[in-house]
Amino acid sequence: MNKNFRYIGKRIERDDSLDKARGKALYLDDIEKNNMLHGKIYMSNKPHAFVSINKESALKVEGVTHVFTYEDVPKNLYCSHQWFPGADVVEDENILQKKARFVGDRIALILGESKEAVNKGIKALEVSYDELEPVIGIDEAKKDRSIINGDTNLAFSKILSCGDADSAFNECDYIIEDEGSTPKVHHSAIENHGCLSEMDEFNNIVVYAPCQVVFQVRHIIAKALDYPYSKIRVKKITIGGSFGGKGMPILETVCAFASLKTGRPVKITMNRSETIMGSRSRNSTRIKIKTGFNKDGKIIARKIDAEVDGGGHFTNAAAVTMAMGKKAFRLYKIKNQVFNGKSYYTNTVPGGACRGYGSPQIHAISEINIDNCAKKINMDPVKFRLINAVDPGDKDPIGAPELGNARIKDCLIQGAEAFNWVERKKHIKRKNTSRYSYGIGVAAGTHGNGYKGAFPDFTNVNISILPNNRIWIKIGIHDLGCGTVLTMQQIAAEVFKISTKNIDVPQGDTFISPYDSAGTQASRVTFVCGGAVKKASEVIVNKMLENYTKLFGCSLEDIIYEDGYIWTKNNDKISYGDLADLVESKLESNLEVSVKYNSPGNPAVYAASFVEVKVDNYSGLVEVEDILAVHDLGQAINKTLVEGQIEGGAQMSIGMALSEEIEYRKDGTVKTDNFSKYHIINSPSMPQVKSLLIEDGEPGGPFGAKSVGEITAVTPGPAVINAINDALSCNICDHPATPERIIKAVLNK
Amino acid sequence: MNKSIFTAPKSLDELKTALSKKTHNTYIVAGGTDLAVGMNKNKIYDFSLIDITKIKELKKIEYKDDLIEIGSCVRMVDLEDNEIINKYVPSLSKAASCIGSTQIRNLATIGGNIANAAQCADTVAVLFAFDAEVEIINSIGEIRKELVYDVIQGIGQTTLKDDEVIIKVIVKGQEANEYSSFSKIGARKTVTISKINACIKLALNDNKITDSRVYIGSIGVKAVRSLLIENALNNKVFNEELKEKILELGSKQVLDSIPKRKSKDYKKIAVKGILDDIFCDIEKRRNLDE
Repeated sequence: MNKNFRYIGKRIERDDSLDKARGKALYLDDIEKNNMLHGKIYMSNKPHAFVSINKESALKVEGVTHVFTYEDVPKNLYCSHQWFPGADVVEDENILQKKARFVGDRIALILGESKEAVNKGIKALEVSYDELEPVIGIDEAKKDRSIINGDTNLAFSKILSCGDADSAFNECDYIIEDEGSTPKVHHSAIENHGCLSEMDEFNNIVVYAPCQVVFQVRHIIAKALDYPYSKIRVKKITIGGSFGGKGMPILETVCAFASLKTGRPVKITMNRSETIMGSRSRNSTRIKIKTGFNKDGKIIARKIDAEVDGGGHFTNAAAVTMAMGKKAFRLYKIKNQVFNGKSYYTNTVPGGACRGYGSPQIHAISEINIDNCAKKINMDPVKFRLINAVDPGDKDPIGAPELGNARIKDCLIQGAEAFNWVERKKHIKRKNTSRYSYGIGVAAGTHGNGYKGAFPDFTNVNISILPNNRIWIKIGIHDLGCGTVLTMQQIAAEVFKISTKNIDVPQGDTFISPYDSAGTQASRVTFVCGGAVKKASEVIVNKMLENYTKLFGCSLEDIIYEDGYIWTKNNDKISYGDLADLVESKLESNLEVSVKYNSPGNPAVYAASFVEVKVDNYSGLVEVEDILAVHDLGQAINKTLVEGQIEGGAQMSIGMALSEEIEYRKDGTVKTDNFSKYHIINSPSMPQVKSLLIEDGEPGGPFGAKSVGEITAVTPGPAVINAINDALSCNICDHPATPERIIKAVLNK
Repeated sequence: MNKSIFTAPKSLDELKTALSKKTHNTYIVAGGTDLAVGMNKNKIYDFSLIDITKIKELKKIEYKDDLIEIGSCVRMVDLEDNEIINKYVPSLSKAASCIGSTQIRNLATIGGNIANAAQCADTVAVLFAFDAEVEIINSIGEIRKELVYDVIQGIGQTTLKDDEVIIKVIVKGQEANEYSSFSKIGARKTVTISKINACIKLALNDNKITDSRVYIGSIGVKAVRSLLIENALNNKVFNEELKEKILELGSKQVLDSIPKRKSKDYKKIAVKGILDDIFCDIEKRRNLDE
């Protein structure tokens, strides 16, 4: 592959980095509109209850203008997870609920002239609850004593399989079984949830949302309010992080409703506790894995039973279960495998996308189990993984798209070498003291590149070359802080041979962006949207060259174009913008193309993490002393952005492994409703993350690139747990491995 | 609606006047690191405040007649960096340095740490071990003294009356042959609330412990004095063997203090960690002295 790139892979600075660093970037909370009302959601204090509300006392508060409840809103059920009308879901959400299904469910909206008035209105509102028995946790849900929706708490179940696992277990030399759990995780984006909406002069509802999928927000609002799609303008604004948390509309429907109803701009914001309790979370799971293998280390059969806590509304109950299951078939060659996934309604915060979408959960347990298999036959865990890992070009055994240039073996081999794995494994115990135990661990993982094979995965791009030498790319992307805009700029820059500074890529706006089928989710943006930008850039560059030949009477071969200029031996350099001028005045045309791009596939990405931990035998606190994350990402578009993803993903993954959990009390209230109780890994506890990139090129990806942002949150955690188990010679499978769990494991050894 | 009044007295005299006008929804604020969180959580929107941080003498640390006087508005960051505290009450510097984040330590005050009376308050275990006293002023300007140990009655409960404010903490510094240290364990290394903490103060004659004070926090409504450990320390030689014995007694103390709490299973082991830290720290300080 040609690697003489001008822009691809380069550490180009983002256009918005200085503004963000200096606090100049405008976020939702910075935007004020004339005559704007402030709004706050009254969230249910009870996990499972019919609600009745007396508005009187709240309306008496000076400055409170409106109180809306279930009685006031349209009764069109929707599913906030549904990103296009064809996605098969259960619609069980209202703009405001009559029956609260979790502590944090939206039951009323209070509007007022100031934040203070609204806060006082919330305090004054009289709410009475007709309580039902709460269902907290999967075990309680399975009893079906108290039903949340329909006639059972089982929201979804699906079996995926290849070969015949049940009979293949009989042929195995060894069988290792493990069972573990993963927690509900809060995304911890620095910006809490918020939304602003207003009516424009044409009676369009304009929604300013820090969101991931403008067309999904439009769809859900259209559905909830029964308002024309073409009269809803959703603009993605600067976002203070999402990590999946802002994927589903939480406030958008109720905010749009309020503007429509009052005719005034309305801004609704949530604080941290409200965002933890009332938005979405990573689904918690309980996973049982049984793996059969031979004495030479070859896996023969595997059975996975996964139970998912879906929370109070259906949302992603099916999607996340399927996502988990599918990943189980794409990392190791396992001829006989069955995945049995079930998800349940519970009276807790609904599940939603969260960086990795099921991959962190399934790998959390499966990678511990793989280590235990290796241990059983005294084999190095890297070697065990290498024996079973997939190869480039392998097919998916359950019929999903092919794995593509799957480089997991390179990740393991090159990673082990860079980490000095073999030597460290030999000597790690020498570091032990009476106080501290040391261990090292490895884990591998896989993730996808979009929806191809499951859902429509296409996008539209419109590119124009404008007179002042600007390239204008319209595509429905959403920069969630990862540098998506710059990624698109670099891809286009490479094709155009022009600086990224000349390229403008406005973000998702349903009145500007051409339709995109699936939004900024599912690890599809670089692979699919980036592919689309590359394709459309090629089309318009060809158009530019053809027009040049018409204008200057030369052949295509004579043309040289570089750094935003185009010329031939016989003609002086003119800028692309000057050419656009000439095309308009001389050829009565303009340099603009619209291209529809269908994803060419859904290859897998791979990663392996290697870590060393130091465990305090007394406090049970774990320090990650060293971490190396190796990523098979095809080709980095911008190495600085990639490293940022790898570091941030490691922080989230280690957090899920060690300390992050939204904990519920038996009465359905949330224990960990702020950052002094919900413990993310903070900077003093964060190791310096080393990264190693395997850049072998993915044929279908733009310049060989595939996804990286989500898979970064998959392997560090299980590697940490494997290292802890190595340090303490125990088998911790429940996440997070809190100090209490670690001490318990040591005592029970 | 109640009128909100915000006052910032500049002297004790002005404070006295402000206190005399205090109503049921008037709060005393110094750092505000607990108050602001509590007001948000409890949705307190109508309130008055008396900000005591503008009274200069409440921000001083002074060494007077063998006693160290610490103004109640002295912040954690001041305790951390102050030479007098570092020399005479090093465990207080240590405790202050372990509290919350840098941002919190830049605001939180020693008076607030006492008045808030959290079970896990880090400076409190140290103040107990040093038999520290506080000076309290009321709305008619009377000043009374009370042991910190007695001021704190339970979680969030103190002997402070509605019109009283802590103005000073008085500590007798450690002698040349005395050593003290503090350690805590939370859910993570830094920016964390103590699950358990402790302060030990020892008097050593050569290698022999002649006197000791041991307080363990978060195993009772307020830090618990461990006579069990003190008795085992007194008249013993300070060495590794003694440390191992003390670690075991730490577990026993936890089980004695919270026999029924679920957290005992963890704390009985974790306490060994903080006792180990304290022993190592004292050992290090002794080596520096020699």
